[in-house]
Amino acid sequence: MSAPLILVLATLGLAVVSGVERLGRIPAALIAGLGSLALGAISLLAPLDVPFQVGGLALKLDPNLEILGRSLELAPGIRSGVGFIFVIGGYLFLGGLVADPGRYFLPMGILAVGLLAASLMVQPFLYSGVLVMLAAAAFVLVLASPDRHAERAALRLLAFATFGMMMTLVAAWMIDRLGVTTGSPERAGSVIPVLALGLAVLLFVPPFHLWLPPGADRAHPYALTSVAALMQASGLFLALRVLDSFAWVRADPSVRLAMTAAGVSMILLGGIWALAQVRLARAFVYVLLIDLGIGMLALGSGTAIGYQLAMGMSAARVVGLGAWGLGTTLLAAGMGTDELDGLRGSGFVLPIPAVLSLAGLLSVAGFPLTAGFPGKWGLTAHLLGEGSAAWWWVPAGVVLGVVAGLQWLSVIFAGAAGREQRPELTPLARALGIGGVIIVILLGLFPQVAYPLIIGVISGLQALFA
Amino acid sequence: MTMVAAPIELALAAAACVAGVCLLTVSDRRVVLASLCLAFVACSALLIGRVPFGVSLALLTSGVAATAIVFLSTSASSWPWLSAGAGGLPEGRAFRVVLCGFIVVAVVGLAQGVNLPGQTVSPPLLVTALGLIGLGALQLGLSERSLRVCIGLLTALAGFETLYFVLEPALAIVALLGSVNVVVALIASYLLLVVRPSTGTDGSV
Repeated sequence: MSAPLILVLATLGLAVVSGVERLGRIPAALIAGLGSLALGAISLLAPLDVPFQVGGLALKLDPNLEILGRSLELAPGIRSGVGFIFVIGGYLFLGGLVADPGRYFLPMGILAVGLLAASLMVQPFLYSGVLVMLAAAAFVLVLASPDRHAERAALRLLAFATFGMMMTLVAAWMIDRLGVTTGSPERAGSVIPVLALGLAVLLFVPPFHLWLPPGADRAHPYALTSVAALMQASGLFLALRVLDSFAWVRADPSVRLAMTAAGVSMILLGGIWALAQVRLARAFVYVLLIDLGIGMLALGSGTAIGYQLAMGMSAARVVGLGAWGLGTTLLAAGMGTDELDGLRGSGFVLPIPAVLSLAGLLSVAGFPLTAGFPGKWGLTAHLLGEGSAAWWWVPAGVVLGVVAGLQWLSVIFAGAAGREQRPELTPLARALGIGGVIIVILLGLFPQVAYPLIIGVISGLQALFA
Repeated sequence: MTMVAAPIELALAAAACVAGVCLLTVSDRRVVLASLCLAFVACSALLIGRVPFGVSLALLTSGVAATAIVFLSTSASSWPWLSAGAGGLPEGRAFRVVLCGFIVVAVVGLAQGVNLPGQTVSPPLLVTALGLIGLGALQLGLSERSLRVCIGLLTALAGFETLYFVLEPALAIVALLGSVNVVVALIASYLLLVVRPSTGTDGSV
């Protein structure tokens, strides 16, 4: 029995079941969330190529699945990445218990998670661009739900993913034909820009972040954060795979320089815009851009520790994104808006969603004692130790993001409540809200518990650590 | 494998480019969808003899299927595009024609100098592929209306697939890229029929 085939069929099954309208929101979210977590566990833990018994039935899981001359392969270096994508999906789908981002959030979200997981498994792996593009197509239905009219953001994401796919396919062909090695820098020089363009789309390097601001205006906050969380995680893993697979990319100093330059530009752009926004969602996407920029600085360091920190920050980002998405969904639903004037004093009306939203925002910004802080602290120390001139951009980015976050804190907890009647939260919403805040703070206080596990996700990419 | 003769190849390339220009400049939905279909037909005909016949047929099938999906969706949404009035030109058409001219001239010039490693690609095929990619990208840049964006993506995909199938006619890639065409058309259909975008001043979506 083929392990990738099990993952493909189970993903399709979950997508179909969670899309049944009669099931109701809570059972559907439970099935999607727990199902995705179970698939993550299978990807991470199932014994491959070794006979084992389940209830007296002898089984052996084959890590390969051949389709039309190409294969999906749950290789040792990849399976933790595949598991990581499914676990992120499960975490975000469980938020659907409370948030209601639209009818297609669960079925299309699961389908997209399956496609992103398959994009990590496909061999040769640069063909993954097509699967990522198909995942972006599924995300169109997640972002542009019928009541939201966020088609501008959704179509921009689709267009970027389509052109990114073209770039990675052309790069795959060039690598195959040109026979690029570390000894042929001129050939590498013609492939790297094409490959970099394809990956830049997935890492939201400007101008490929341009789907985020219109998404912040129109899309459901939880749908937007889920799409961003999944796309950035798969983009980062693909970038690390490129670095792992091609020594000539790792060896090229211009690649590291370009990553650092992209990171600095993201911090600058995000920092300037985050401070100038009058909508919470818009401010958040620019703080997210700062965080992604800091992640690019980690990749640009070109060291094993830098790659590990990039991975750790990616996981912390997912925690912050989930918290902000859920908190803002509840806050905006209760106050009827996410604009500055409408949210003034909303922290006294809806304290739990307000604190959750701010905890998510400050975590993504890298505020001390939140999940996003340890990675950025570690990166600053690492870049300083390496003698990199780019080190000070990390604290600069954190300061810009935190100032934007504190600006919103002062708005949300300003003056008196704008409403006399408090919107009621369900006990489940209250529990998930408090749980979200606790997770954000616990991961900030005790990073030594979670970081080794997360860093282990890329331990299979052995060339990065050679 | 017998390739199409040079004059026919030139005619097919010209047809594809004219179709690409029509996609960008015409508002009448019947002309637009006929142009999209023509672009896919011309692209798949250009591939005959260069790649296994099944690959050419796959491009034709997926392209026609995508056009049919968009056609049915626009029909079901009561043909939201308006034709130009008698003697009147829709706003911006001249500007778009000039931009298309720039793209076509640039691509014809570019095609003379492109040298793909280990691969011989005829200039008409290269002009068709790069021209459609350019015109599709231009469509994306000029409009943010759902249907226009999806048609722009399909135009660019038609061009890309024409070139890429010559370079890499692997069955898995042909199947995946074929499914991409259909998926983009299905998204256009979803946005037209389920999300129902607001219409523009000229009634376009």
